[in-house]
Amino acid sequence: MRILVAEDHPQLARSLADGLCEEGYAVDLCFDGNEADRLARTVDYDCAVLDIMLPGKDGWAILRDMRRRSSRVPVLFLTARDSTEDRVKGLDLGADDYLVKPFEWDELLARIRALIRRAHGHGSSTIAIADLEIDLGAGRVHRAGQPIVLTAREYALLRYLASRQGQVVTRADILDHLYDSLDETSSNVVDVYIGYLRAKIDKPFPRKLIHTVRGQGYMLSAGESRSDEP
Amino acid sequence: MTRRIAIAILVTALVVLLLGAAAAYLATRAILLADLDESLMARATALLQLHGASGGERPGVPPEDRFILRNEQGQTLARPPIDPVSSEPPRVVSKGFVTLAGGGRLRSVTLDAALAPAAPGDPQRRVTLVYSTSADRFDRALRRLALSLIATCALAGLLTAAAAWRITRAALAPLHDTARTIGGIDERHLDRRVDCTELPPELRPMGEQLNQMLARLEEVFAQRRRFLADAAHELRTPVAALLTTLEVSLRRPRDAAALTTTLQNCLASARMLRRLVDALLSQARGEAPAPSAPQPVDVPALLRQCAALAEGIASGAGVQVTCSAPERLEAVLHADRLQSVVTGLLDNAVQYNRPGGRVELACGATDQGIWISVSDTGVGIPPDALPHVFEPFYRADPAANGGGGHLGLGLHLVKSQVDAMGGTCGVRSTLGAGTTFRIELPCVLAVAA
Repeated sequence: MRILVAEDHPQLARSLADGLCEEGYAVDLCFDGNEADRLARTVDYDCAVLDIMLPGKDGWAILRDMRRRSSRVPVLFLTARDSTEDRVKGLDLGADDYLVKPFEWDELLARIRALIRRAHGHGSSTIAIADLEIDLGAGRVHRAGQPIVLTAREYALLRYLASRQGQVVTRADILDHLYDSLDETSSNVVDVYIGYLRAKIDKPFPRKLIHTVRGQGYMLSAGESRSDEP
Repeated sequence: MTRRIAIAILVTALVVLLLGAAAAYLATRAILLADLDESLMARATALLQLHGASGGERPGVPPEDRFILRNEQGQTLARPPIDPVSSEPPRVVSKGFVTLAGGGRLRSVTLDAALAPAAPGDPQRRVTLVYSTSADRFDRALRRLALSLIATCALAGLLTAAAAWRITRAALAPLHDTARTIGGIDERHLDRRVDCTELPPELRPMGEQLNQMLARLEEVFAQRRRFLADAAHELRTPVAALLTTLEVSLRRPRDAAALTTTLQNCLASARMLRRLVDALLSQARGEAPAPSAPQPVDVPALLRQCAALAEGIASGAGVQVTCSAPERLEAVLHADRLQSVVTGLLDNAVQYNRPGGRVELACGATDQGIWISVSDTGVGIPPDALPHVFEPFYRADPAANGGGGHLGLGLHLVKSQVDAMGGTCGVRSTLGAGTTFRIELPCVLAVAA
């Protein structure tokens, strides 16, 4: 999942970015409002964590423009402004969540997970596809009752595929959502990681869940696909 | 106070009443006694006359009376004899009250009279008459008078006491209400005011002054609250940075290098927080009354000293600090406050300057005291930001927000100090060219330039 983080306090910004990266998110970090606005227009994020008092354009203005563009990216305001008026204003403008500084790290992670979950239409924090179970809260994967150990990248890829369950996901999509703008990547990397994932999730089990859609990309689905390539 | 006023009224009234009653009593007694004595004298004299004392045989006829008795033909039958010798009136030897053994009192008069000679040629005889009459009626009448006077006084006293109390209470009621209103004012209820229309005209100025004082207090408390709220707010982001950095670091095992980096970052944040706390404390102290009295201060010397102290930071930023001051300017001021103000303005001028820029300190005398100016060749302040530069936590340059290290408190502290010295701060600025701060302080000049 790709997350936009806009925070002008350098140390807090870096800690946020580092922490979210370690959780498997691809993070684009910026320190002022104009840069955040530009990024929000050009990249399709899975979630945005915005400070309100940013130099240049403030968080409210960025959000307002996003919603005017009919962008459905979930936005969490992370801010020192805690008055009821501020919260109401933020939520009414279209923010999906509001967290006041200082905050607990675990709470921030849980709220981001909830936002992404809701954006992808999942009610609970567990995604089940056939006998594959992904516990989004704990970050654990089971298939047929057996735990499956994945690396952070593999888990991120699986999570993204699961959020687009039943839809075709192009390599470009995967690159956009799993790698931030600082990573040097080529689309081969996607194929390699799909291979790793398949080895752990599909290979040991009779039913294949990860399907190749020739000419387009990949799909995670419980149904059989017409063309299946290992 | 009600009691004192009421008692004063009551005591005055009682004194007046008692004096009046006493006067009435004594006057009445004197009149009654004179009357009694007169009738006593008349009867005693009549008795003397009965026995041939001055005036001859004229039973029952007082000597001062004159009469002529004529018959039908106009002949005189009887008339008082004209006898100069025996027309000497009786002489009063003494008058007094006598108390009887069995109770009761007599009023007694002792007379010394001359009796007419039994025959012409006889020597004059002198007699002494002690004549008394009962003083009981006199005493009774006086007793009744005394009692009714006392009763009247007592009744009047009670009525006066009640009336005095009532009247005083009513007159002082507005003061009680005012006292209650003031008693109900604490830091949570500073918006209450005294109702001046309820006060008597003499007390209205006091009520108005009280209200003005309350308004000033309310404003000061409101300012303090705002400042505290702003300060708490400002602390949030640095604290969040500290917390998040530590939480993220602890989530996974880290190697020594990563931990060292984290610790250094946290140290930087903690130092920043310390600076904020120090600035807040300076602010609180700056607003407190000065502990000592003002002293004569050599102003140009103080400016040069501040410039020298700022030398290190200034040269690090590539900024030159110059001082242009008159030869001698000595004023009676708080030296540490003045130094804090000049240092604050100097720091500001160096921070917002450009490499190769200049800061100039200057001072002079005004007709009220002294002025001090600090000019820089820095980035300048936009016109819409100018009115706000002295507000706490205001930063005209938003890019310096957050971790940039600018707390936004420096100029606010300067203004607080200048206000505490009774002076004024002014600022002029041209974007891109520079800014000049000028403060004027009312003070006594020991030596003018």
